[in-house]
Amino acid sequence: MSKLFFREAIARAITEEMDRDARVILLGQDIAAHGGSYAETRGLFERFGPSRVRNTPVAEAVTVGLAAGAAAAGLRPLAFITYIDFLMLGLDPLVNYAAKLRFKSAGQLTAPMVVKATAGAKGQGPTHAQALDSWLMNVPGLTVLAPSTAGDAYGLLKTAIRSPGPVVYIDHKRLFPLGGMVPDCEELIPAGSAAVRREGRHITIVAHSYMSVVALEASKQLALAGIEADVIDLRSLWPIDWETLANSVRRTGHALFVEEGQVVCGVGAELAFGLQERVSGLRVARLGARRVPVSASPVLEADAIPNAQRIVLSARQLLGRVADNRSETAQR
Amino acid sequence: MIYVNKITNIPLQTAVIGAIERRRRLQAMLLLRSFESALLRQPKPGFQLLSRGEEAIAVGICTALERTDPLLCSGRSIGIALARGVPAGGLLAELTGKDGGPNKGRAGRAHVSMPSVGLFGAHGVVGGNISVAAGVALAQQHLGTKAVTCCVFGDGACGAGSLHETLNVAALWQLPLLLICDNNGFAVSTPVRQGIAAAKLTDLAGPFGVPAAAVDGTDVDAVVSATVEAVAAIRAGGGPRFLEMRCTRLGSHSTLTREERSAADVERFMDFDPLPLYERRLRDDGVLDHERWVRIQAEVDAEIAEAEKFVEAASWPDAEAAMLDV
Amino acid sequence: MIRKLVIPVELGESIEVRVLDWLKAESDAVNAGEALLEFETDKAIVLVTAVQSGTLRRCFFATGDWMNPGDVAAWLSDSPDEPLPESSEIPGDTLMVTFDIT
Repeated sequence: MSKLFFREAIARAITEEMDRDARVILLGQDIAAHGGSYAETRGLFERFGPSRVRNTPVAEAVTVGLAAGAAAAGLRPLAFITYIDFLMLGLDPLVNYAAKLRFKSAGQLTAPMVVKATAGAKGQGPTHAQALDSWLMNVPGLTVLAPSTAGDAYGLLKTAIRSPGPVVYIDHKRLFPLGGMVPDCEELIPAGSAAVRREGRHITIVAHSYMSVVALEASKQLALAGIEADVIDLRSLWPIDWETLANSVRRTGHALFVEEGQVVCGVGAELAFGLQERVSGLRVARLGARRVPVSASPVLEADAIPNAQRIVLSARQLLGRVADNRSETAQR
Repeated sequence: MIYVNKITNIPLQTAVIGAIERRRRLQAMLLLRSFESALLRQPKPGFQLLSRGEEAIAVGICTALERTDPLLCSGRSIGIALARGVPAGGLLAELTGKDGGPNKGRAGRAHVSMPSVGLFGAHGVVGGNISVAAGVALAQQHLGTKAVTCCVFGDGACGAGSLHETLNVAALWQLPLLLICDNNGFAVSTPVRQGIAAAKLTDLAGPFGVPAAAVDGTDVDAVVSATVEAVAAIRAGGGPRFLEMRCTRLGSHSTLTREERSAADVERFMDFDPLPLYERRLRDDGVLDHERWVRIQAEVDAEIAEAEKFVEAASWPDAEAAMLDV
Repeated sequence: MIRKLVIPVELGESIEVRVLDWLKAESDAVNAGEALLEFETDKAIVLVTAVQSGTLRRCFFATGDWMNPGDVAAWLSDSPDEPLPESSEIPGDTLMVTFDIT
C-alpha cells in the first residue's frame, strides 16, 4: 500500500486500464495538456497521446453522446464531467440511449462507457454544488458508483472501466485534498459492494462519498457519548449491497441514512424502504441537504448541507437519546 | 464507377448493370411502399411514422453505403430499415411488438436496429442519434476501419442543439461522418420556414466548415449519386459532409397525427411521389416494359405475403426474458 | 536563534501535502531569496523560498513523506553552529519564507 493523493489514485487506475486495453479513450474538457480540472489526468496526455486523450469543447451533451456512440461501436470511453450539475446536459445520450441500448437492441449492442462526474458543495455556488446521485439510481441499465477514499477511487474506477456499462462514477470535490492508501498491486472493487468503515452495536449509519468521511467523524463524537455506530460506506449506489446493510441493521435495529443531496426521493429513501422490506422492526431516519439551492456564501453553504454535529444529533434522536444533552443546539 | 453485382460480386457492363440496377431500385422502393400498406393492414399496427414519399432517400442512401458503414436514423425508420436489409417479416414483427424481429419486439419502430446488416439503429429522440453517430464515427476513425458513419435525421432535428454540437466536433476532429437531413418540409405540423431561421438547411453546416449540398430526394438516382460522392470523399479522409435531401411527406406525421395540410396541398404533393416519377422515367428510358413491371409487382407482393405470414405466426415476447437484457 | 519552517494552514484548502524535494541539505547555508523546499498539494506544487538567511540544520520529513498544515518541516539557525534544542523543544520563532504556488 502507498499513500497517494485522491487524484493520483484516479490517474493510476486510468493509466493501468489504458495500458491494458487500447480501446479505452478519454473525453473531456481540459484533460489533455492541462491535466484535468482536478489535476487527475496529469501525465496521461503525454503518455497516451492526442487520439486517446481528447479535449472536448464545453459541450456536455455531445461529449456524452460521443462516449455513447463510441462505446456502442467498440471503444471503451471515459467521459469527464467536471461538475455533476452539468451532467444534466448529457442525460439524453446517457439515459435515453446508452442505458437502454442493451435492452432495445436485444443484446446486439452495448455501451461500455464510463461517465466520471464530480459532485459536492465547496464554495462554488448553486449550479456547481449539487449531488444528483439519486437521480441516476432509478434508471434501469445504469450502474452508479461513488468512492469516498483514494483506495476505493482506484478500485472502483478500474471496475467501472472494465464494466459492460454504462457506469456513472461520482466523486466529490472535498475528497481531492485527502490522501489515502492505495494498493500497490492491482485490486478491483466490484459493483454492489459496500464497505464497513467502523463497527458498533447501537446504530447503523449509512453514507457515501464525502458524507462517509463526515459520518466517520460523527461516529467518533458519538462514541464519546457511549453510542457505538456501524458506519457503512455504500460505494455502489446501484447495485446496492443489501446484504451488508441488512446484516448490520439486523444487529443494531436502527439505521440513519446520510447524504449530501436532497432527501426527497434521495438515496436514503430507497435504502430505508428496501431495508424495511428485508428486516422487520427497523427504526429509520434520513439526513440530507436542506431544501434550498447551495449558495457559494460559506455561511449559507454550511447551513445547507449535513455536518458531523447534525449527524450526531440525528443519531441521538433516532435512538431516543436527545434528552441526554440539552445544551446541543437544535438543528434540523 | 465500376458496378459490381451485389449478390455475385461480378463486375458487369455499365449499360447492362445500369438497367438491372435501376429496376432493382424501383423494386426496392415499391417494396417499401407495399410494406407500409401491409403494416397498416395489421390487426394492431401501433404508432407508426411512415416513409411514404421518402422511399427514394431510403433506397438511395442504402445503395450508396457499404454494409460495413454504420447507418443510424431517426424515428422515421421503416423505409431505411427495410432498404438496409432487415427482413420484411422480421421488421413487421418488430414494428408490431412481436418476437421474431431483430430486437425481439422490444425496440419497435423508434429504436429498431440490426447491426449485422448495417443498421446501427433508429432512435426515438429527435436529434438524439446525431451525437451518438459522431461517437460511432470516432470509433471508426480510432480503429482505422475506413468505414463511413451515416446519420439520417429530419428537418425537425435541425433546430436541435445536438446537430450543431455534432457539426462542431465532427469538423474539429474531421470525423468520418455523413449527416443527411431528410427534409420533407414539415416537423409534425411546423413547416421548415417556421422551424429553422437559416435560409437554407445546408447553411447550417457552413459555419463549421463542413461541405454541404442539397439533393432532389425524390430522384433515387440523384440520391445515390450524391451519396456515393460524399461517402467517397469522407472515406478518403476528407472529414464530415452534410447532405440535405428534399422530398415530400405524402401522409401526416404519424398514424396518430391528423393531416393539417390543405387537401389542395396534399394533392400537389402527389406530383413528387418518387415511385411513379421513377417508374415513368424507366419507361421513357426503355428500361421498364409492362411485362417487367408486372413481374416486379408480383415479386414484391410475394415478399409481402411471406412477411405477413411470418408475423402472423410470430409469438409475443416473453417479459421475463426481456428483463435479462437490461 | 533557531527558527522553525512551518507548513502554513492557509494553503488553499489542502488537508495534507507531500514533500517533493529538498533543495538544500542539512548544514547548507540558505540565503534570502533561495528556495529550500518543494512540496505538493492535491492541486499544485508549492515552492518555499527563504526571505531571511540562515543555515538549514534539521529536516523532519524526507521526499515522499506526508505533512499536515501546521507541521514543522525543518529547523534553521541564524549561525551555523548554534546548539540545537532538546528534541522535545520546538523553537518559538518562525522562519520567514514565501510560498509560491505553481
